[in-house]
Amino acid sequence: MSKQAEIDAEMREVLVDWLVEIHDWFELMPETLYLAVSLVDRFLEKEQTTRNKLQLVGATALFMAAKYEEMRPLPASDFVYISRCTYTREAILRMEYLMLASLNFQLTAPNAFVFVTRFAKVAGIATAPRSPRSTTELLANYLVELTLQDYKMLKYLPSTICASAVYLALKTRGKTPWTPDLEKHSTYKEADLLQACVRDIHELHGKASTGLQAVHRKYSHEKYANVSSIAPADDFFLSLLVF
Amino acid sequence: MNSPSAEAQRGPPRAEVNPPSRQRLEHAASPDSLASLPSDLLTLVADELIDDTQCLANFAAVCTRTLAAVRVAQRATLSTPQAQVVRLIGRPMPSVSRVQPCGAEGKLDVARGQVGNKRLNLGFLPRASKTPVDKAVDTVDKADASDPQCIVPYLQDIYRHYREAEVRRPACRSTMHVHTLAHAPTRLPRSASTPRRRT
Repeated sequence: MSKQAEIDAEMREVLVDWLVEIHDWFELMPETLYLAVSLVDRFLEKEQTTRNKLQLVGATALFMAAKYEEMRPLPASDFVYISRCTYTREAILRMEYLMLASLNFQLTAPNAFVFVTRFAKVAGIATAPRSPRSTTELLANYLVELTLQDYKMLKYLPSTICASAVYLALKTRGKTPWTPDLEKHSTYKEADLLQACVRDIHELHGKASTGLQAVHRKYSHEKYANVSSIAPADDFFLSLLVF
Repeated sequence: MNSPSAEAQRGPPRAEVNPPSRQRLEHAASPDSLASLPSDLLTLVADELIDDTQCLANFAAVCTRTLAAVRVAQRATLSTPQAQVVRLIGRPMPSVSRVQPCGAEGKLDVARGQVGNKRLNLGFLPRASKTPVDKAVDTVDKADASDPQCIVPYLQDIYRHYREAEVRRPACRSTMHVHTLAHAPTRLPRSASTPRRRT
């Protein structure tokens, strides 16, 4: 994104915040959101975009991700509606063509969702399918979703973010944060890799209720066990972490 | 007396095909000679022999023998790579002759998913042992091992691929210059009147 002349990290935050809101609005699968953000990032990495087209890029990315992940993908007219007719259906389809050509039709990329699901299972906080998810798992998901908005979190690999989020969620809930199983499956050692990332996520958790709040609002619903109201582990506690 | 118009109705004169004698047919029984002929020509020859039952029988016998000879040649061709495989894996592969036709009558059983009019009899092959798979299943995935949708045997491979791919194709890890926005972001506030798509 360093090649972008008109777009900066703050605009990306606004866009991702809007995507989270729209994604929640349409009640899409979580995979769709992660894929959409990944598509936006990978497209902006390759192509220069103007400020007034950024929302079109985001809407088209969600449109493409829904087609990829959802059983009932949204029609293009829904995205015309949510953009308040700022963009026409033809503009969305044209942008879809441009994005697909730019990405060379490589839509799949490992995102944080696949790792957080796995690490939550390894940590023993994942519940069986079609049963209510545990608070710790939801908290880990909340922390990972918070990182989607922050551009500086892109310096970490998705697996590092997820390992750190699971670590922090377990720590916040007063459980053993890192087990040999987690170390084996994530291949991350507590001391080596998680320190900086855990601190960054902890910082995001602390300021989640300020600024752009789509993720915070989303996880304040009953459906998500209101995990956004869980206070972050205090700094003193974090400073005692033995890395 | 044949008039020109009657000759025209008969069309162009057909090539006279002399009925092949038994010796000539047997001489032509080598795979290289008869098998290389186009099937249309063989059909034409059979058409000409339709009145002579003995010659037609001879011709059919020669064709059958030629077909058998071609199959022997194919098996001989197959034996060379088979020997190479034996050298590589250290144990013999099943020979072509061990492949059994399906059922007692060799008929196609569509309901059982047979393709073609033959089915490979794989009963003589060693059965895949489940022991190594059970050993590979991690304690984390033990509960899902019986659910085929959980694809437990491939999980390790899938996540190994994810880990390799995330390093190979990161989304964007370059540092972006951060500056304050000149204009307020044009966010779309949620309209209270807009219904949700799914409830």
